[in-house]
Amino acid sequence: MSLWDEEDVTEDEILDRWFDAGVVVLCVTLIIVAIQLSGGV
Amino acid sequence: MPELFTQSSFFPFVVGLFGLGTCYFIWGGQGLFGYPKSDANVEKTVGLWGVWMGGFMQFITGVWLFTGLTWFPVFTKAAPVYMAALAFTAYGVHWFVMGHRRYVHSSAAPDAWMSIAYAWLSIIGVISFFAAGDVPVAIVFILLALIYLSELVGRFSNAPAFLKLQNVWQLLNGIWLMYLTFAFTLNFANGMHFWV
Repeated sequence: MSLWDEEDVTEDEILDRWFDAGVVVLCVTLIIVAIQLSGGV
Repeated sequence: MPELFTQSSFFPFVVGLFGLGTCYFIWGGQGLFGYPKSDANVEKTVGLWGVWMGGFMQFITGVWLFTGLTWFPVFTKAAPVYMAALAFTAYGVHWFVMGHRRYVHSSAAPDAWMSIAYAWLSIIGVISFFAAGDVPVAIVFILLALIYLSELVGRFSNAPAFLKLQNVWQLLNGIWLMYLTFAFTLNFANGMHFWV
């Protein structure tokens, strides 16, 4: 068994994963920027 | 007579906040987006992250804070620390159970009853931190209350939609906990003044 045991994954599924992970990271960044801009710092 | 223990303002909150946040990214992300697909090996790994990040990182923070309130009273000047210590200890132990439960593929049905107690503890946290004027941490407890109320309905009604909703709150709380980790760390380590 390989360490990465996904043999039937498609390009679209991988793009979806990157999109989901990107949204999560973007949310954290936007919160920090929004609080900074609103004078929270 | 001088105090034997000087007060410390270096509260170890970030250890528990980061642990829980990481745990929520893994549990919430996997549950909401379905990646990776659940199988026996994935369940084990997700369970392990629950035990160590959600469990140990919070439990050690809770014990540490209570120690700093009692045996070596160095954190006694900040009122909501008692609530934080209770929450970190209690949520930490509940993650030991949930992570282990998932690791051994045991039934989640009894968690319905657990969710009543933890929804209650979350509401106490909301009241305590709002009363202390600490809105950023109160937001964590609002999201915790939503997590356990969703689980309560989901488990008692056997309604998967509510368990999916629980994953949404978990992921949102993970995002907010990452902000708090950022803010507390830079405030304590670098003297910045982020909203915490």
